[in-house]
Amino acid sequence: MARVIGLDKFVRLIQIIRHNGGIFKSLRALYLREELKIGTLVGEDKYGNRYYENNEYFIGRNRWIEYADHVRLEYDASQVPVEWYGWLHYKTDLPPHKDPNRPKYKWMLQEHEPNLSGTNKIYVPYSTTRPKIEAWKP
Amino acid sequence: MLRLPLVRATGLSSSRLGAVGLHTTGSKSQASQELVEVFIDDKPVQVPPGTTVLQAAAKAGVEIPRFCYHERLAVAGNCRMCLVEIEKQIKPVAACAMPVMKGWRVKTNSDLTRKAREGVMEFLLVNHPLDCPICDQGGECDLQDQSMAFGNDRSRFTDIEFSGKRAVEDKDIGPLIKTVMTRCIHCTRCIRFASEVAGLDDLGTTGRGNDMQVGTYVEKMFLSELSGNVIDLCPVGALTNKPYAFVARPWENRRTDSIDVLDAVGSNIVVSSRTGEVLRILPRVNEDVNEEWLSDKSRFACDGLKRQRIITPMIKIAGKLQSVAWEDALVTAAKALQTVAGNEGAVIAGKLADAEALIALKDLFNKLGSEVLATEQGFPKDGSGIDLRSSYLLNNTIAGIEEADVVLLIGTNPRYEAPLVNTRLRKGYLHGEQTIALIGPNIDLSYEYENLGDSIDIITKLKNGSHPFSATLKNAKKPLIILGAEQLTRKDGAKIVSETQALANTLGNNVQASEDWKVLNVLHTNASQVAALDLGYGSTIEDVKQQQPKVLFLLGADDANIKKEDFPNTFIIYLGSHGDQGATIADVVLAGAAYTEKTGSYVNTEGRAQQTGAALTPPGMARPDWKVIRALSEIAGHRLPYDNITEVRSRLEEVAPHIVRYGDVEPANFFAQAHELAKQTGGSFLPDPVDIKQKTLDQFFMTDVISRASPTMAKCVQAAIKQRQTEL
Amino acid sequence: MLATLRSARNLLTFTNARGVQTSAVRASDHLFVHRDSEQDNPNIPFEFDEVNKKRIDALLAIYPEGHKRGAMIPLLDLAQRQHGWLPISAMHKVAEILEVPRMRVYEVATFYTMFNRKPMGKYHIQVCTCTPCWLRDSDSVLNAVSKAANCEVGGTSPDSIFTISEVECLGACANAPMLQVNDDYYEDLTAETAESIINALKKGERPPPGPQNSPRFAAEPAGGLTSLTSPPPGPGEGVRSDL
Repeated sequence: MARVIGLDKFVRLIQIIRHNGGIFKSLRALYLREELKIGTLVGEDKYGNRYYENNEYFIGRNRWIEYADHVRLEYDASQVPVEWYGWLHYKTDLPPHKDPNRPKYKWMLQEHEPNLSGTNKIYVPYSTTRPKIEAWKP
Repeated sequence: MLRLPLVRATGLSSSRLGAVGLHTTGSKSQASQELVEVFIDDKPVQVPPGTTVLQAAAKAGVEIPRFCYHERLAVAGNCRMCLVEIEKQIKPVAACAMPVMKGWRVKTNSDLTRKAREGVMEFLLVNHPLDCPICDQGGECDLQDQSMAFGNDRSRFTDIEFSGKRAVEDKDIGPLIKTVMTRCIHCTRCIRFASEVAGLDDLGTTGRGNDMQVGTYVEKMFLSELSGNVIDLCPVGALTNKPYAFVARPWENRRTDSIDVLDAVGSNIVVSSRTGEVLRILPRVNEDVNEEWLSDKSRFACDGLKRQRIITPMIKIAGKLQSVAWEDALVTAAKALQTVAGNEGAVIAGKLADAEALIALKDLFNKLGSEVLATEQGFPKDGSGIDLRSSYLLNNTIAGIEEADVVLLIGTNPRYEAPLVNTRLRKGYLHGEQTIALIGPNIDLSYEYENLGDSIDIITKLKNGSHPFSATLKNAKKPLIILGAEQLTRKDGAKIVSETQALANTLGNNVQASEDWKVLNVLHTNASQVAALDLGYGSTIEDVKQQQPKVLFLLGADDANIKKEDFPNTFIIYLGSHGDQGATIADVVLAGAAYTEKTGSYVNTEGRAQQTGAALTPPGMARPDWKVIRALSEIAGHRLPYDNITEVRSRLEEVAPHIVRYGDVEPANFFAQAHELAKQTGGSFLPDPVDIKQKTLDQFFMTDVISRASPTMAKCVQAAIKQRQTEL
Repeated sequence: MLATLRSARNLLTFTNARGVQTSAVRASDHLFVHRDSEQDNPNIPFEFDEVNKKRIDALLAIYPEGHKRGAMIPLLDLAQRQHGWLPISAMHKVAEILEVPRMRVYEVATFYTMFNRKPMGKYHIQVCTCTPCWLRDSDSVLNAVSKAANCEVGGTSPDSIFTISEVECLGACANAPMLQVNDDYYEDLTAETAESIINALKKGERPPPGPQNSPRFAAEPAGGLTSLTSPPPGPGEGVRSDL
């Protein structure tokens, strides 16, 4: 009966809002991520990004990240550290803190670096060609 | 050597030579001769006797393919590409060397002709490498084009399996010309150019048969002021432009018709540019000025346009020039200009200045009340001064030089000051029996001449008839005096002008040449000079030094040898394209455009107005010169009344109407009046001998800011010095 | 599968699969550019001797005014005869005498094969190997000469006495095989006679030129005349008696 009149959708909405911590926090999540989801917190990395999983969603949408709060809208995919990248992209089902067999090599990057394009720390390769016009230097 | 002793011995006139293939302008006598009718592909055409089949076909509008034939060189007839069938003759004949006979029916497209061409092309390609993809001539190659048009469409060449193709080692003939001698098809155009036009018998063929090669035999560089022309002449990729090697393909270049400003001849050029760079400069045909040649400086100095450029305005802050924005530079300059009251400002115009900038600057300084407008190479003010154009022009025109029978050069080395004037003299010498004499030091002019000595009072002796050469001058039918502009900067310049005018006047009265024959000619070295004098830049640098102006404006003046010590209390503004002598002493540097970056008017030494074309935009913040001056005038509070080039040119037209009549020579007149005025000139000759700045080839290459900034020109100077040392 | 094997074999055995070409073998044994060497460079002075100077005056007198360059080949020949071969300084001297650019002399000197632009032996032996001589076994003559003179064909012997070159027809085909020593023709040769000529030259003698070991004086038939054997008939022979 409830399903017929669509009441279950409403109940689900209430559940999701509650899960996200109330109406205001849900609105904030919508503002930041444009979606509201319900899922179990799998883990959190050292940058404050939280990783969720909910297998009710179909694959591809069942693992997601909520970026650290302090980045607000300035998030991008390169902020995902390498150890979580594998789990998020279904390379492994074991999140890093539950996987004892992860190799550690010296050559691996110690500190994760996000892509700095668009910031003032952007990488600019130096020019290897001579300028077409050589200016006079007095 | 090449002065055709045969012609002298057999008494053939030069007009006959002209008909056979050597271009002479003085072949008017042909008009009265009877014409011969020949038929080119059944099309009747009337030509004078002695015309070759090829020329007759050209008159009928049929182009016969050729490699070795070139209309400005002697006929060689060795490539055989121009074979055509003539009716009732069993063998095809070489059209370039065969004079027509009455009633001949030439078939330029018959089976026999086509077969002959295919055969010749096949033989040429036997020993020509198929390296078009890595050849710089690709796209502008006569062999490529003609093998497409006239060659066979398939190859019978199997020799590659057995003995392969002929290979010839490359020659090192200098920093300008790259040689890949395996590609040579032995047309000998370069050899003929070198010995006939450049006057340098260094190239030749050595060996025979399949082993024949074009070269210098000994290890020697082919250094001449005209050597670059062999690149254009070469129908294949054997001789190519060394600085331009592997730079671009001809079809991807943008071509802009322009004018060369590195000497006062005003050669017509095509500027090839791509991606904001001038890649090379080629000559453009203008029969009246440069025919189709170009001097090496004009052709190869274009890489100087990319170095030492002033791309931002600069201000001297704490004794050092610092790059600033236009606003700051203009305001600083304008502030200095506002302090000028009355005759406290002065201008020195450099050798590359265009007429638009000159008029704008003159208007600005006249508004400020200043009248001291000087050119780098001053012109004496005594006598008629610059009021009568006849006293400072090459009145008889460059093309007219060929027709003279006696030429007197006074203190000039046309070979290096104006190489394309020298080709005219050499042509007159070779084909027209010209007698040439020089007052000046011993120099190599590429033809024989009589050196009358280096004392300037020889002019007076010639006038009085007390010099042995004066008899020759007096008996001349078409005498010509060419006075080097460099001599006019001497202290006794005014006296030189007046004495030369007097000499010209005596000669002019003697001869019965036609009315428009002008004896007196001045050969300038600076491209801007005539336009500046036309516009009234009458002062000299000495005047400026005496005046000690508050503000001195240098319009690209880098060769005037002005030192900061000469002007201790002067504010110096420099406007130009290259950082050189002028910019280093300036307090404010304004970034101007070079000649390939602006549309500017120039008047060459014969008084022909021509304009450059803007191939590129000026680099960085640089702007065309007249626009900078216009902007400066507004900030200084004396706004000039023109906002675009058309308005500047209408202002030019007000001052000197001929400057905007592009392509035309405005003939000068009032020789007698100039002479009358000159009579009052006092003074006497100085005892100093006549000296010329450019005496040897190494002094030719670097004469202005652009060529001084050019690495290629620096290499040429090195090569010329090295060559001279090995020859000594 | 087999195609792979084939390409693998192509990789292993070095074949010229792409047809990359090398340049041609020089057809001529002479170089048509000048290379400075110890014996031949422009700094070595060359001067005609007194006898030749007189000859030069006589030669130049042949040519009219303005056509002095016509004497170029005779002058170069004089220089070569005086010096044994034609060094670059001799060409320069000729250019100076004729008042022509040096290049014009180089052109002539490189065009003619009889001007030798590299050091030659005292005797320049030119062995004809053209068809008529070759048919008469000029190969053995050439071998014999080369062996006797201790000099390879196209080279100069170590003692600088002989230079041997293989030449095309010298125009003495009736007396084939033949060779030329400087200006002398030696004809009707066999390997033995050729060797004896060389040996005589080594001793400094000049063997008599002409047909060697042959009854012939010049190019007449070796076995005596076969035609024109009788004296020519007098006038009136075969003419009608009544005339």
